Amino acid sequence: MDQQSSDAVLDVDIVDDSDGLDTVGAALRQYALRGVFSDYRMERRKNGVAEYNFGWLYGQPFTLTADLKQRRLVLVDLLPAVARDSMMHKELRAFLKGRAAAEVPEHRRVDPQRATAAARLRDGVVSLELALAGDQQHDYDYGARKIINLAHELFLFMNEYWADYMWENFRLNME
Amino acid sequence: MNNNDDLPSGAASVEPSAEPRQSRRSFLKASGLLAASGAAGAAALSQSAAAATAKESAGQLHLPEQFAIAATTPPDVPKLPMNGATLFAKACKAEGLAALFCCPGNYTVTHAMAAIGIPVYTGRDERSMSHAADAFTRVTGEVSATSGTEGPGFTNLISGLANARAARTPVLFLSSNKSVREEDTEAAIQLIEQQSVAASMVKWQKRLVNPHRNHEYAGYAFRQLKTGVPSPVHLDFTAEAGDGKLSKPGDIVYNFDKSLYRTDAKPNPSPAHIAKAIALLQSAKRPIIVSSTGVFYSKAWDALRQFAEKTQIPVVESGAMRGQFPDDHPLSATCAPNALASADVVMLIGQYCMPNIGEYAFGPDAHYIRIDPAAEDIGRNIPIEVGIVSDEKAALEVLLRDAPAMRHDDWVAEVAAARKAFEAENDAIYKQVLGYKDAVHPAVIAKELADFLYRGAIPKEQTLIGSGGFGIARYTRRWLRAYRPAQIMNGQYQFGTVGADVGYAVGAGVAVKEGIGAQAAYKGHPTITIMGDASFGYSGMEIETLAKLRIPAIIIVYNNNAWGTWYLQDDEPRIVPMHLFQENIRYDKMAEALGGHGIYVTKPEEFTPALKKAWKTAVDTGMPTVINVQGKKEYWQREKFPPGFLGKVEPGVTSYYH
Repeated sequence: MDQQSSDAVLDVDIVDDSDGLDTVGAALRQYALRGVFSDYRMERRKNGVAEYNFGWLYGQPFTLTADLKQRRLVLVDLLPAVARDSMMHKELRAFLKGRAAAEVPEHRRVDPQRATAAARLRDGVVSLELALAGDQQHDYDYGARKIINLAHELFLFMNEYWADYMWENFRLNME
Repeated sequence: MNNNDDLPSGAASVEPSAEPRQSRRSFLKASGLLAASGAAGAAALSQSAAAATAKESAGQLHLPEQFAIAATTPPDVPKLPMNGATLFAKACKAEGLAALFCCPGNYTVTHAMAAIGIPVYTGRDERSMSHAADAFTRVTGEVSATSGTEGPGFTNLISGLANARAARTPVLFLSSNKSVREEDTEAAIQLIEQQSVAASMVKWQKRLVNPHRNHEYAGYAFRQLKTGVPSPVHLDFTAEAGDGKLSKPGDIVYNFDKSLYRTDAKPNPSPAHIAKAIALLQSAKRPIIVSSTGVFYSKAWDALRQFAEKTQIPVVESGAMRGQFPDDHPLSATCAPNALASADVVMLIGQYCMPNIGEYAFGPDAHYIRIDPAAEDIGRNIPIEVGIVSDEKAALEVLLRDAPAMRHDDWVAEVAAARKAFEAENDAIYKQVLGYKDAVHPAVIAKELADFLYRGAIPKEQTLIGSGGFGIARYTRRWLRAYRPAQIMNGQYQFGTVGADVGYAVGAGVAVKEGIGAQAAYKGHPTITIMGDASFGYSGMEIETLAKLRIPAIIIVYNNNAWGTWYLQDDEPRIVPMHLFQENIRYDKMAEALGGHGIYVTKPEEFTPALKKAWKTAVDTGMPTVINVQGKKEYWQREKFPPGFLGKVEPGVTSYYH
């Protein structure tokens, strides 16, 4: 198992003519190869946009989109049933803003020189957006890893302070 | 060697006991208890029962004189002829079975155990007694047993069996089960096929039908209980197996000493996998160790501490009991929950109940090493990069020997900062809730209990805590600390049964009162168990057991007049009453009626004085006290009473004490 695992992690191809969408795909694929994601798929669309689908936390399907023109990554429809300007909505925004604070350890911080995180609310559903400052491949690699880690931390925050919401909306066990 | 050598000479004698028992009258005359009949009482059938008689005047109810007689009656020395139950009890005693918790029933077996001198503690409900056995083993590290009679006694054991399975507790579950002759007949009452019911919850099980093989099957049971990943074992006794007569040494099959039917050897790690683990740890910037249940049962805490210090790797605890890595150690990350997502390599040791992806606070970039005695379990739920098949202590000793000294200064500083931030957050919560005056907020209980136990006159490592409850635990686990092995027992670990807590208090209380196993240094001190009112409703009658056994237990009931689930239904008028009780129930009065003491606390400023009073009662009288703390169900509503219902702070985010 150990050898297979380490080989699998190395089995990621980034060809010379790849773009930011491939870089995002390569980063996400590593999570899949390490067993963090399940059922990983990438689909290129028109105009520099790609959609990535995978299973992750709590057995839920996740969709991430990457847009080269907008230099933007979005985890689509992450949190349902959030009322605009509700206490939860305000805390979500404050949490994401706080992740860019100087006192957050560098490996956890959303570096404001490189990206800006936001909770986009539409029709009562929050999507997590990461706007990138740069458009180089390393920017997309940073963005892909950062948005996944940020989503993980967002769910930690929700489990800590909105446990009942998580039970009701993600079918988590009350214990 | 044949264990028949253990049998006293003249094994074919019909003498039931090596020494004649005292008659009740002769004992009473000799002890003077006849003159003090109003103060009769002792601590059940425990080894310290005689000593407890000194405190018996504190008991509020009369304890029958038979307790004191039993405490001074020498145990039987089994001789042939004997029945199958006695043969089994003899094997259990030779294995050092530390305690049996039961209700009357399965008579031949439980009576044989009592007669032979195995400490037997009886309560009011088999379910609570099974929880007591679970708790006893979880805080001592010693195998215990529980028993139920025939069908109903057995079915009452099932919740305890499931809990023990989830917590990986090596408890021997015993039950009687009619006779082979009556199988499939529905003859008389209480007949049920037990093996299929228990099958999914046991490590091993057997229906005993032949008394000649009882010693052999005791060996099967203890091999399972004392090796590998711990878990419960179930034996059901037919009448033939329990009552059947054994007349001569040759009637006993496979009657060997335990040194001949099981080994103390432990699986050791392979050098190649140890090297891989060390290489991964050396490559890490922010490694962390998760110390869980297996570290306790393998008594690996010294090796763990030395390895962590040599490599400067922080340690966070999870599991069914806590304290194997002290919370005040500079490398402890247990009170630094917000640091966990930073870890890049996670080494899981003895984490038997495995979280799934997303159930850990560790982030998606974390790489995992898992050390476990069971190869077949490594890789389940969480993908691992290095799997080490080994006893936990053996693996840590090899890692300590082979790993070079390391430094992770920035990471250790990050963990320290997270600890400080966590304490600051707790302080802020406490100050916030002090504004709620009309009932007691759970943060008041948690903070002031911690001040009393860890920052006062009591040595901070002394008091064993049973941490139970649903909503209340969301607060107490933020303040409770563990400074030595098994100082905290994590309540309904993973299975989440409501109603186990007073049973837990019985088992943990016996363990500390008698100073068994990991509790030896704290013998006789009071214990504290925290629970909600829903839980107390299931098992409150066991206050009578605590009183009867003279256990100095303090039971803190967080009484918010509701099941913990109520607030999810507060906008459903036809549904919400399903989750509510009558208000302000006097559980303290119930305790008094059952022979214990009771205190009712309705205001925040009353809690600490009540705790001090209960403590003094426990120390002075050896008797239990229920502190009935009147809360308010609306405290779970965050918009009205922030911070409301909180989440968890363990490495396991969504599962109970993962």
